[in-house]
Amino acid sequence: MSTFSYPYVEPQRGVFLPWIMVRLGNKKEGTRLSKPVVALVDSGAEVSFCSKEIAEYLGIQLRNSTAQDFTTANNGTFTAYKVNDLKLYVCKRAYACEFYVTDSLPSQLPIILGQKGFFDHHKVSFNFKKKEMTLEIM
Amino acid sequence: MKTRDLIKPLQESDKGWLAINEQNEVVESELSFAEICKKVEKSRKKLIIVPAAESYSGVLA
Repeated sequence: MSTFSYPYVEPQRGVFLPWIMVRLGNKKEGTRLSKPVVALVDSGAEVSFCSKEIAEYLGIQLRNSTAQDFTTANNGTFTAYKVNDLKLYVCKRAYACEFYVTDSLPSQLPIILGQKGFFDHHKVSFNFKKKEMTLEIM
Repeated sequence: MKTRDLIKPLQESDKGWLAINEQNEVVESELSFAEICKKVEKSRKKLIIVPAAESYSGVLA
């Protein structure tokens, strides 16, 4: 079983985030990002999210996608569109990953890797004291 | 494990997108994701793309 360790990222003094760098691709078009983009590993997110800006760049079509409303921690709501055409490149492999595409993500979080799509593919261990995250492929 | 310190490069801009190299230096910045991708697609350097923001603190996902 393959295990990968990643350091936390400090984007601002005193702020340590479990960010990893991932690539996304469009299964249908055969396109993929040439460089990795930052993604938040978030055990509290039920699903995985991708910003509309990134999805559009990859040529993802939302026309026939199912819309779903989500509630945020501060009780706000937003709509996201389920897509099955995205491929996630992470831990030196790639797999088809269900994402919800929305233009409502905070600009700091263009990709959120949640339970469905990410935690169901990896055993994730956070060690905040060591500022380290370990991903084991399941 | 040593954290990846992006404090300095992320202070260079508060909007758009940044391409950052292995030495944690900003090599490109653009307002749109499509533009930053276009700028770096032919680069052979090991770069990452990070959104620029005023603050990375207090963001509830």
